[in-house]
This record gives sequence, structure tokens and C-alpha cells, in this order.
Amino acid sequence: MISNTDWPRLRELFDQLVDLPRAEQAPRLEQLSAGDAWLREEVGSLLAASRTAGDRFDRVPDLPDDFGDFGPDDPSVGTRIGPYRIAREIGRGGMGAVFEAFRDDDAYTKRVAIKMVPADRVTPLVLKRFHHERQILARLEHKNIAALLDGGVTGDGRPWFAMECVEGERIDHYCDRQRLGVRDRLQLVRQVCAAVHYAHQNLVVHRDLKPSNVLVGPNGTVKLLDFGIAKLVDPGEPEPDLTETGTLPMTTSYASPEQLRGEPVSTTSDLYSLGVLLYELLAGRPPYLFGNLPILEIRQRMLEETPLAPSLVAEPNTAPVSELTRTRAGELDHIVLMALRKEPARRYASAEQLADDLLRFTAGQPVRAQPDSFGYRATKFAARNRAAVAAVAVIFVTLVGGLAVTLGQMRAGERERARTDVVNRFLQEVMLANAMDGGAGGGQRTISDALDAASVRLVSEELAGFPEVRATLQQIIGTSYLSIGRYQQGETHLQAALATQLPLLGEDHLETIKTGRSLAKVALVRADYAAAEAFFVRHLDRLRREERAGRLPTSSLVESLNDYALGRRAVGDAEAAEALLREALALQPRVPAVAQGAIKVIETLLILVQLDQGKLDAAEADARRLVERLRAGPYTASNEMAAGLTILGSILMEQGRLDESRARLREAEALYRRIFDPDYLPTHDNLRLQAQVAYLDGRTADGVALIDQVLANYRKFSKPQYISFATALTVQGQLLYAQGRLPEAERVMGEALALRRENLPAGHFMAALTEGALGELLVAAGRYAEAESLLVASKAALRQSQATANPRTRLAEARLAALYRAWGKPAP
Amino acid sequence: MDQLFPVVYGKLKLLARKHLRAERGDHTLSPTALVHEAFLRLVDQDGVSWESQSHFYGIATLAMRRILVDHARRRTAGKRSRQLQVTLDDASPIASADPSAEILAVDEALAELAGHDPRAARLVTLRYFGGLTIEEAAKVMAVSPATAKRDWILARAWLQRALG
Repeated sequence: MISNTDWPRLRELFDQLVDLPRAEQAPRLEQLSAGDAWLREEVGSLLAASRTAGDRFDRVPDLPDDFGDFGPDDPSVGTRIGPYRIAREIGRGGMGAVFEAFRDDDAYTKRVAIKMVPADRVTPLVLKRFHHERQILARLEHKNIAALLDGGVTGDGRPWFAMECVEGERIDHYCDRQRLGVRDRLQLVRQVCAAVHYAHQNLVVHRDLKPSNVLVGPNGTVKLLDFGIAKLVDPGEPEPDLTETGTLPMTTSYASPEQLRGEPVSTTSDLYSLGVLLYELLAGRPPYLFGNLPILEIRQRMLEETPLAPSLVAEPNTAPVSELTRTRAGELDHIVLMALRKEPARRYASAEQLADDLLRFTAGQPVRAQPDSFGYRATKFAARNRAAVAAVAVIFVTLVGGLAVTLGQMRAGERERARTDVVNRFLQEVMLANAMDGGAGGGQRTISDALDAASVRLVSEELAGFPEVRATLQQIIGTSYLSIGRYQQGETHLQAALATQLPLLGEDHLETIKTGRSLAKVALVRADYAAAEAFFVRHLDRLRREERAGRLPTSSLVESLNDYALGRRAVGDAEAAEALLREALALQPRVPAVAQGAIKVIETLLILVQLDQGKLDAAEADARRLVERLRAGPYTASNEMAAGLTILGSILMEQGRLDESRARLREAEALYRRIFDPDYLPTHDNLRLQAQVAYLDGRTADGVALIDQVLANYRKFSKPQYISFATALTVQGQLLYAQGRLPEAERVMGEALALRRENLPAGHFMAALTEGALGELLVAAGRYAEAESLLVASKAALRQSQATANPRTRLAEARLAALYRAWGKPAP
Repeated sequence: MDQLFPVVYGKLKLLARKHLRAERGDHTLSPTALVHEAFLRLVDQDGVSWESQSHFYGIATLAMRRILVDHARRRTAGKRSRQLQVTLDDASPIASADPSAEILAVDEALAELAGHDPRAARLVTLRYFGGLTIEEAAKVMAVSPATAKRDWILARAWLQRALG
């Protein structure tokens, strides 16, 4: 062996001698090696080799014929990597392949997970990310984060590192397999929060939180994995540029809006992903369902749409959250939706805060998360519809600001035309269209705010000289208030408009009639059916003529027919109601595409007519078709959709398909809440149906909470004559009965029956339904004779009014049979 | 080791596999051709940026050496008995035998040389495994061509003595 201290001498000698003629080399070597036999031997043999080498090594070797046949690149079973022996491949992705391996050169055998870049994925970027992950893992040491143990480079230069091998299952699979309840699921998510919070404190943002990166070990310990695209937020440590195209390979469903937009990511982005994880674990489905939508559309929706509350979309009975009462589920909804907010600043400030709120929820303490206000949602709507908002703003300025001046300079005829033009544009193109979709306002204001602001300007002196213009504007603004469910404000404006128009224009002026049309709608909401009736009897023909003459939009006539039909139905005149609805439906070809929603509502009401006649199967088929068509079209998130889903839910309830019924009703409720003021009447009609489902399902506490809310809302706006008020009372009575509070139940149902008898013709099926419910209660109280008279009347009325073979009549028959059994008396 | 090493290594292997699949009938494929092809592919298609062309060749020849040696090792592991026979029959055994044997012998000799004279060993890697000329290799190693030439004379003698 040549030692390295000898080498410089050897090299020097060789270099000196190699250029000499061969004959001189030996003597010089003898002389210079100075009796060092070893050196002389080494240099001598190299000089000899130098003479024979020629150009032998000047050319590259020939390649063997089978060059290119290299066998597998990635370690196979038995291969060694560092001190570890590969046992099997566990997983493989774009960022890394993971192998199970053992270290067995110690006294004991240690099991690890080895991660390395797959051979076919070796690019500078992937390698950079890999090194980066290793650096990040090196700074994290937490019981809920898989620990980094070792690392190195393989023969082909690929880096690897060994991590603690986590024996576990994906958190979602684990929860489902163990059939964990909400409490246990939340406990697991709190562990995830602990890991994430720790990472955040160490200035690491995970950026790829999803179920497959969260494992639960057999002892229930959560381990967070895969910091492959994690990011350091330490300002002192520059982040390597890991993005080539501005997008990261994160999983879209779990990516926060800012990640989707390619904007800077902060710790609160992880909070969003935690929210998605939490949502799935509770609702059993992701916050957004997209089916086959194009990717850009999916992205757009994720950026814009607020997800529906988990408890509203959860499959009844199977989803974990369905075990909770509605109130409890609602609190959890607030927590999840707060984590899922679009604006990072409005989410929880830290994973610890989220964990804390989850703990509060579990402990039954009030949670910190608050729902978005209606005003806030409306603002967001306005922000999304800038073009429409701008149009509204422009028209407001024209109308309320400059119009007064302009009108003052015009002659009477011109003035009338200008007023009609501007007002019609305002009414039809902008205001109503937007209001029906959920509202729009000027700038950052909501429709409500815009209407409020407009109201203030209406009473200012600008329009003082033009009362008829002001009245028209009041009529428009009042109608707009109605369309978002602010009945009180709507009525005030409409009454003011009417007070101006009646003396100025007369009762039969079209503008006055238009105001009356909207007031008739108010009357319907207030259950003042007589007032509504009076208006339509007097003016419906006029509306029909104006429509034919082109002075009234067809959709306005359709709406009026709709309102009148509802009024007739409310007093038990089903025949007239149906005729009016059919008349409206026949107008469909004349209704422009943008106003076709009015026709959809007519279709919904025609289904209701069928339902009233007890034709449940036909009604169901029609309702399903309607909902399908709405889902396909531009009405997916509309008032019309909500109405269609509500009626479908109502039919399913009567058929006893309670789970499906609840799912549809909640879907509809979510839409109503997204679009309208919380007081909107149809929302409460929907809740009433949900209370009924809760009663039938034995969820009495949920039902009571709902029905109390519904009755409070009905009492706030409507007279007791409201047709659904007695229905709600009946439901309340049934729920009280279910709670064993018989006297209260009887009082409430008695009140309901009295209202029915007072407001509906004899033998009306709704009265019969209330009689049946009360009769059942009296049977339970042992008051058989009273029960008999009610139940016999109920059965007779239902047989008369309802289609053959329907659940209502069957129920009445069953109740009567139960009475005679309890009474011990043979059925007559 | 340079972070780009595995990238180049992977690309060279990929190209060699491709050529094998294409069942090359000619004998144009050589380590030199592969290294050049890898350079073009990495720059043009993968957009890998290099500090300099020399930077690339420094890495690529190392990767080529590793690939040739690994392949030869894999191959000889399965053919030991046949090779032995050839050696007995032939007067100049290594040269005419499977190139794998020579590759392995050169690699081994280089490993020893690198222990004494890393620069000379590196030069051999560039020349023998990468097909670079002395001038090209000198540029990669940032030495004068004269120095490279002297290193080459020594290294050549070293290899010749080792391989016989």
C-alpha cells in the first residue's frame, strides 16, 4: 500500500522521469529514489506500464449489448438503505415513495418508514421539495406528528429519510369503521389541531391537511404526516421557491380559497383545511359536491359559495352529526363554517382556538363561533354581482338625484314617458331580478341597506314637487322589500304610495293598481284573505287586459294569479285556485326567459293542489321531475328550487319516508336562509314541515324547538287565520302530546280546530286532519265518546275529499279502529 | 454530492432504456453520445439550468460511471462462470471479453487512485466514462490543459499497471 504521505514523492518522481528516453529512466530512478526500494519499485512499474498503455484508455468502453436493462430502480424487498432493510412498499405518490423497513443491526429490531423520491420522479423541483420536507420535519417534535429519525443519500444520489412508522388508519376510515360518535370524532380532531398548532408555533404551515395525511393509531393517537409541501413562515429564513407554475400539488377539496387563487398562504389556510376535514367527519360528505363539473367551475364555486351547514346536508340517521339535537348541531355548524370562511381573517385565529371551541362544545358550554349575519351574506352577494350592483347604483342616482331636476324642465306628457321609462327599467331589469336572486346593493351595501338608503332619500325634499314620481318609487321599493322578506318595511312604503296615488291618480290608474297588487301580497302574508280577495275581484280583469296590451309584464300577471290562487286555497276554494294556476301556466310562452321563475312557482303550486286532493303518488312524481329540471337549469340555488324541494319534502313526509324528507327540507332551508331575510315566511313554512318530520320521527325535543320558532314568526306577521298557523298549532299539540303534556296539547289542538272551522268550509280536509289528531289525543285521555265523534267526522271528510288509497284516509281509519279497540266496543 | 446528480443519473438511465427498447442495430450508442443527449434533453425539455456546461459534465460523467459500473456488476454477477472460461482461453483476456469486466476493473483501480490523487482519478472519470477530450476535461476541472495532460499520463499508467 502507498501511504498518502508517500504519494507526492512518487508523483514527482514519475512526472520527472516519464518524459525521459527509456534508457535514461532506470539510472535516474536509481539515483533519485535514494535507496528507497519501495519507491523505486512503484515508480518503475508505473513507468513500464506507461510505455505499454498506449491509447487503451483514450476511448470510452464499448457498451454491453444489454446496456439499458437495469432492473428496478426503487429498492425491492431486502435491499439495504443506510442501516435499514426494506420490507415492502407502503405507498407512492408524486412527491415520494414510502417503504416499510427495519433496522436490525441493533440489539433490537426497529421498524421505520423510509421515504425517498421515486426514481421516475427525480427532477430538481421534487428534490428541492424533498430536502425541504426533511428540514421541516427536523424541527418538529410532537406526539401527534410522525418523527424524523434518520436520513441519507442512496447510491444513485437520491435522498431518503426515515420516519417513525405509524401503525394506523386514515382518520375518516377509522371513525367510520369504529362507528365513532360526534364526541369521539371531535376528540380526534382536537388532536389534529394540537399537532397543527404546534407546527404553526414552529413557523411551519402544513398546506396539505386531508384525511389521508392524518392517521389514527390503535391506541387512538393521531399522527399527522406528510409535510411534503409544508412551508416555513419564518421571515428570517427565505422560503425556497417550490412553485414552478404558481400551483402546488395540494388536494383541491381541502385547499383554502387563497391557495386556490395562488395567493400567499398563512397558518389560517391550514385552519380552512381543518374545517373541511371536520365537515367531512361530521356530515359524512365534503362541503362541496361537484360531480362532473369542469374544473374551472368547481374552482369558481369554491371561491364564491358558502358551503351549506353540515347538519343541513348530512344524511339523517347515518351521518354522525344526525345524532345531535338541532340546537346542538347548529352550534357545531357555526364552528365548522367559521373555520371554512373565505376570508382568512374571519376564521379562527389559531388551531388552538378551534380546538378550544370544540372542547367547549363537547363540555356543553357556549361556543365562540358566530354565524354570518344575513346582512353579511347579502353584502357578499352584492360583491359577487358587481355589474348588477353598479347598474342599481346608477339608476338610483338618476332616479333620486337628477330626476327631479330633469322632470321639472319637462312638459307633462314627456314627464310621464320619462317616469315610465326609468321606473320600468329600474323595476324589471335590475331591482326585482336581483332581489329575487338574493339581493344586491350599491357598492359594498346590501340590498337591504340600499333600500333603506333609498327610503331616506324618498322623503327628502328633492322629490317634494313630484309626489307621483315619489309614489312610484315607493311602490318599487316597497315591493322590493317584500321580495326579500322584510314585510313590515314593504307594507309601510306601499301604504304611503297608495296614500299619494289614490287622490292624485285615482283608484283605477295602472300605477295605483300596481301598488294594490303588492299590497294584496302583503294581505296574503298577513292572512287578511278578505282584503286580498277584494282587490283581485275588482282588478284582476284589468291586470289581464293591461298584460295583453303590453303595459304590464306577463310575469307580473302570473304573480298576481299565483297570489290570488293562494288566497282562494287559504279559504278552502281549491277549484278556483286550480283554475287560476292553470291560467297562469298557460301564459308561459309569453314570459321572457329571465322571468320563467314565476312559472316554476306555478308548477310547484299545481303540485300542492294535487297534494291537497290526496294524490300523493302523482304529486311525488311531478315534484321529483320539477326538482330534477331545476337542478339542471339556472335555478340550482334559487327561491324556486327551495320551493320545489320543500314540497317534495312535504310529500315524502306524508309517505313516511322521513329521512329523505328531512334531507330535502333541510336542503331547501339552507337555500332560503342563504337568500332571504330570516323572517321570510316560506322559510318558516319549511321549518314547520321539519317540526312535523321530527314529531313523526320521535325527535320530540327538536320538534318543539322548531315549532316554537315557527309559531313566534307566524304570530309576528300573520293573523291566526293564516292557513298554516292552525297546521303549526296542530303539530305543536302533537309534540306536546308526545311529551305527555295532554292538557296543553288538547288546548292547542282545540284552538287549531276552532280556527279551521272558522276559516274553512265544512268537510275541508285540513279540518279533518286536525280532528284526527285531536281525536287520537282524546283516545289516549280515555274520552272515547268525544273522540268517536271527531274521528268519525274526520274519516268521512277525508273519504269525501281525498283520492282513494291515500295515507291520510288510511290514518283516519286506523285511528278509528284503535279507538274501538281501546274502548272495547265493536266497530259499527 | 451535487443535488442535480440524481436528476442526471435518472435521465441517463431513462435514455439508455429507451435505446435498448428501440433495439439498436448499429453500434452508435456510446457513453459519450448518451451524455450529450442527456444534456440536450435536460436543457431543452426539462428546463434544468446549469451553472455552466462544465457543471453538467462534471455530474454527468460521474453518473455515467456509476451506471456503467452498476450495470456491469449486475451482469457479471450472473455470468461469472462464462467469463472465467474466456479468461483461460484468451491471451488478452480483458480486452476481448465482455466490456463489463474492464469497466469493473477500471472502476476499482480508479477508486484506489482517488485515494492518492483525486484530481487524476476525476480526469479518468471525465475521459473514460464521459468521452471528454483532455482540453474539455481540463475546462471542467478548471485546470490548465498541461496539468490535465500530466495527470492523464500518470492515470493511464496507473490503470495499465492495475489491469495488466
